[in-house]
Amino acid sequence: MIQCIGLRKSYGALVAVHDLDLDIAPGEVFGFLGPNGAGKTTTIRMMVGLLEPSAGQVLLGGHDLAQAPEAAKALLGYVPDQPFLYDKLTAKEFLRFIGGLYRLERDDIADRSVDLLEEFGLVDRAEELIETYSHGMKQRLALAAALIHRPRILILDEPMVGMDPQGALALRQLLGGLAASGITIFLSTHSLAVAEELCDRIGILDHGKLIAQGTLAELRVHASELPELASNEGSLESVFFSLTGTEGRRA
Amino acid sequence: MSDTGAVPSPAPLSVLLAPRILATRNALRRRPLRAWVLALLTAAFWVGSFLLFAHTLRFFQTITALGPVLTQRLLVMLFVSFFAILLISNVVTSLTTYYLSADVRFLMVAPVPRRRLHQARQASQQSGLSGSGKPHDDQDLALRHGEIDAGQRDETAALLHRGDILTQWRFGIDTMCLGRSVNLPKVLAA
Repeated sequence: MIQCIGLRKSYGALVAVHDLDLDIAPGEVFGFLGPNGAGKTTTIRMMVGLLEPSAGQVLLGGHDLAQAPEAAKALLGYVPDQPFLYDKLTAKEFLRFIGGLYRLERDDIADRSVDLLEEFGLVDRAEELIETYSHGMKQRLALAAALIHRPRILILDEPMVGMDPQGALALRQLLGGLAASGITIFLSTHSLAVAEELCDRIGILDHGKLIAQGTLAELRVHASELPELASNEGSLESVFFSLTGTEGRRA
Repeated sequence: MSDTGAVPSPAPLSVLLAPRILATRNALRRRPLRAWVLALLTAAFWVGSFLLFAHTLRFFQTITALGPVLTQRLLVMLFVSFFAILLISNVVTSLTTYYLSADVRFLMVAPVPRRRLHQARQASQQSGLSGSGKPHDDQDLALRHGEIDAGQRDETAALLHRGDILTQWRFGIDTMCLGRSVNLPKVLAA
């Protein structure tokens, strides 16, 4: 469903993403991990069409993002790390606008809006301006907007940032439900617990290079081949630190 | 739509302009007092500008020999200054509207062709929905400033437009209408 082939982004001499190859199957939840500055957000921006790759290809649902951007983007729901919302609109108006962008029928937009606002606990404040919402409410609304057109691919960049524990739990449950319904989810997160709980496969990016990808079991095997993993406890956290060497660098 | 994999037709301009229109409507509904105050201030500005110009030009007309020259030179200076200000402000407005708006990234992820997005930006800028859009007339006016330099008083005054048509009427100066010179007081008197 999501394919990145030889994806590269360079800024002059600096290569932010090195020849990245990814192949994510339909219905799969793929966790994208890496330390700050590893190139996760750059990769995601290339995957959603916000950034032109220096080389390589992105295919979404078989559509080449460069050749058929509208067809590829129609399959996509995207929630960035800092989602944009029109502050002077109400939640209902915002969802109606998004539905219009994706050319949904008017009745369908109304039905979907009500369902999503209920699901995300925003129905009571649906007629209030978005500027009056809390950070968590805004994030929930951004997620609702990303889902209104029933995307087949959902790309989330750090969706848990700024969420309270209840909100984070609700989001985890929601993502689990979406994955069960067959939506392909690409999740960039710093929360290793979330990745461990939700993701079928995990990719670890460091300095723009995909240093490992696979299931948690495969990553453990991969990490156990490293000499410094003598104290490996088997958790994703220890695997992550071993592969990226972040703990050593931080110390 | 996504389920079938069919490519939707691009969203029409009305959809892309909806957030700005709705935001304006919400602002008017939720803060009617502010809207009224702004409307009154705007009206006061235009009326004040008209009165100021009317007074100044009337004073110039009382100076028999220098009056027309003074009028012409004043208008030339004004138009050239306005042209420079408009040029700079339009460049800044265009850059912010096309490239620095907070919603550009958001909209570029949607299946909207770049050409349509560009049209929507242009439409919102020209309609003033983006906050500081400038009408085309001002640019046309300035681009024709070669005619002002020609020193023809009527042509100079004819470049006045919109609200300033009242100034032309007040002083019996010819107005350009559909490429022809028209003297409004004479037309109305007839």
